Amino acid sequence: MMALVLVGMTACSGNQSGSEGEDGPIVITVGGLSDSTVEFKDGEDLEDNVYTRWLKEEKNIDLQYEFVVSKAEDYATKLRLALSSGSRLPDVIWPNTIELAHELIESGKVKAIGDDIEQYASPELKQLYEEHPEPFASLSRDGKVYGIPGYSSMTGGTVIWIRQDWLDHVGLEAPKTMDEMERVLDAFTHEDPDQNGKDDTFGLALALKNSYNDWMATADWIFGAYGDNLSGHWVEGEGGNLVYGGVQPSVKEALGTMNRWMEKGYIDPEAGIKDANKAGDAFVNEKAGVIAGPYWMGAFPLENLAANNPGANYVPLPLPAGPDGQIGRAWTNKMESMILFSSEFKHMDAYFDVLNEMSGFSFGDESSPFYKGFFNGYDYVEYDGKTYYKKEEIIEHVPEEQWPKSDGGFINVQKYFSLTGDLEHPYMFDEPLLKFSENPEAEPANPIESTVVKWGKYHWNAGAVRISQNEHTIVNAFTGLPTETMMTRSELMDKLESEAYSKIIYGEQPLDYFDTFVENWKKSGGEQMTQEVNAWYESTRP
Amino acid sequence: MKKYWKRTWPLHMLLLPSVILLIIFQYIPILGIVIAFQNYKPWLGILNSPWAGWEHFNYLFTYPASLQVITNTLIIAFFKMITNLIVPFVFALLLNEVRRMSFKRLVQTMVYLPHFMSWVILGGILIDILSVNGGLVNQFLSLFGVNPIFFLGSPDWFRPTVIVTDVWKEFGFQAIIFLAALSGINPSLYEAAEIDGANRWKQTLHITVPSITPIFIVVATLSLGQIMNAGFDQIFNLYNPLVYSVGDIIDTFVYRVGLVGGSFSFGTAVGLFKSMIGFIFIVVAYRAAYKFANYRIF
Repeated sequence: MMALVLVGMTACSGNQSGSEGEDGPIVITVGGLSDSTVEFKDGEDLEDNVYTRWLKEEKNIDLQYEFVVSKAEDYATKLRLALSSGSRLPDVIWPNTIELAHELIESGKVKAIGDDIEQYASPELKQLYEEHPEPFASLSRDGKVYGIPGYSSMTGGTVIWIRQDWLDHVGLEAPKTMDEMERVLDAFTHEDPDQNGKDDTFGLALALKNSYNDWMATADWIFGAYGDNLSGHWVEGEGGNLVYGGVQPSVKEALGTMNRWMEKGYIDPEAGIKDANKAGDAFVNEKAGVIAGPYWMGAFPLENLAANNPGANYVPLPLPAGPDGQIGRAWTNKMESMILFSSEFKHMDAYFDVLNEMSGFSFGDESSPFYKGFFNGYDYVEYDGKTYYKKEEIIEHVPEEQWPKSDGGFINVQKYFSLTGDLEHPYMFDEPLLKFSENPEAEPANPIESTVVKWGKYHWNAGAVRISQNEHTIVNAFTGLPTETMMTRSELMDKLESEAYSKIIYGEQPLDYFDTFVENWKKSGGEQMTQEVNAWYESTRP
Repeated sequence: MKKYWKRTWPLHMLLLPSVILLIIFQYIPILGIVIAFQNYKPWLGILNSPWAGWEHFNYLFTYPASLQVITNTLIIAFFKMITNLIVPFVFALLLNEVRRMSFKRLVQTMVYLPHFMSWVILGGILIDILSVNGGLVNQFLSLFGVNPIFFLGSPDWFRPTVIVTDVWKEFGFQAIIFLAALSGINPSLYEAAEIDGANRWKQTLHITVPSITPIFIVVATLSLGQIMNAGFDQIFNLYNPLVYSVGDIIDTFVYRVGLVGGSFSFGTAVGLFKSMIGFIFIVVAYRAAYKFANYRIF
């Protein structure tokens, strides 16, 4: 019954925003980003393109730029400047960090929009918000909701990449457990897997300089094999309270393993001084045979390996299981971006009208004008009754004057959707990925599948591997603002942690030093932090 | 007096724009240091932010890791300062003795090239050159039977590595000032010395060195202001948890604190503290230079 009423109201508001336009267009101001990745069709620019024209013609919205920046970091600087100088904020605001979002909320210059969501969001959108409510905890203050999340498609998550040709050379199967992995690393280190007659390889490429969960060459899976605890993650412990993952006993076991591997030469001896890119080089340059990272690594940077050595055969593998069959990997935040609204902004109805309609692609809603994609001739091409999503097909079938770009490629229009962002939804690509990894020859049945089909086999296969272990994600349950103790102490505690971990891995301190570190961690503010985090956790639970 | 003004006012007018610019861009912003004594909130501005007194300084001096980072900063900065004075000085003297102009120019160009490379790039290159796994330096050392040294990951080696690589990057550029001073020495002094039978070594000792000593003192005095700057760009690109104990400096510490808190006030407080120390060092050195070397810059 309630739902019916809401649908009725949404329909109403849709009409209203149309009638309001009779006194002139609705002006919405935004901040623009125009960097080298933003591409336009000839004759179009940030002010005048297919998106702004659609807004004007279909929605009577006049999109205006309060400012335009050429680097993503500058956007936040502009917001901070606007805050400090008291000048006007854009109507639709994209803070890049949760701290900045809360600075904005604290300043009173953005408004609570809980009622607007209730009133104007489409039923599908509301259902999505209900299914994935975690981001709203970060966007709330004192029980009020101040923003909406731009969701991640949740395609992150660690998989193992391994050199299949090296495995063949040393005569081993793909490792399924940590013990088998250790055997493989040993062979990769000592049995000349690249068959060049030199002892110049090691097993595992790791990046430990900045974090134990860097975007590539991460160590999260080693920690995950011993328990659902990981540095940087607040996890649910006994009794439903949150505890800090980085100081739990299972971490000690993982560090013991890494120490043993380092001692035996299985790990890049310079892992401690390398960041993700540098560590990745070891795999690309055929020094290491195993690396962990996101499923899309198959394209970048591992394509460089294929370019170096066309004979190199690398495949994605599921994370190996620890002694008790335990598997775990770092989480991905469901919230990729945050959207806040200036307290002076009066047209929330018009905003949600746009958001509701443009979400049609991600919902796979056949009745939506955006079912096939966003704009014909930009991110897809319709010609002669057929819809094309692949560059090669366009070059083959479509006359040149209708190509989106002069080379036949597409234009990523989502880059300048300054009201809504790229409109992806959690897990929306998972089913298509599974479909194509099972049958690469399958015909795409809908536009989302057509998008996925052009990503290619490394993406499908690694994606399927990643999806098969989705349930093993270690969830970081703390998504609030840094607490008071975090503000003043987390630098110290991060340093304690990374120093202790590295010293144990490199054997400068015995494994039992971990207990000393945990004591230190608790004394230096860890206990207080845990209390604060749990107080926040309490406050978010209904 | 009136007459004096009448004669010199056009000159004063010429100076005026620079003075105004200096006041606007150098002196007025100094007022911003009050942020160090506030809990600055951007949307409240300098005028309305709440006062915090000495809170941020207290925090800096009572923070458990502070002593370590201040010590590291002083040690690294001090040795960098000394080596960055002596190496370019000696290099300039040596290069000055080279008679073949083409060779001299070639050397000069080659040694100051690294100055123009950023530490982001050099950091990556150094990791490769200093690698324990077949890096250039360790391969060279292995010719003499030395075991591979983990330059960037060993607490014993990190500071020397940082200092040597910094000197390697900067000495060519620093030497330019000394070379300029050397070319300004009156050649007739050398001719007179030669007639008196002084050899090259005696000439260097009694003409060249005394002639560029004033410049050396100026450079040395000014560099003392850098005593709290151990080089953020370099350390940030080279350090890692393995060498925090010897390599973490004030600037990298502030960077990490700022990442979490985004605290303008704390950053300003640390900046003010560093400037004060640098200022004291410059004043003392200037007095000392006057007293012992009877030399004044101003």
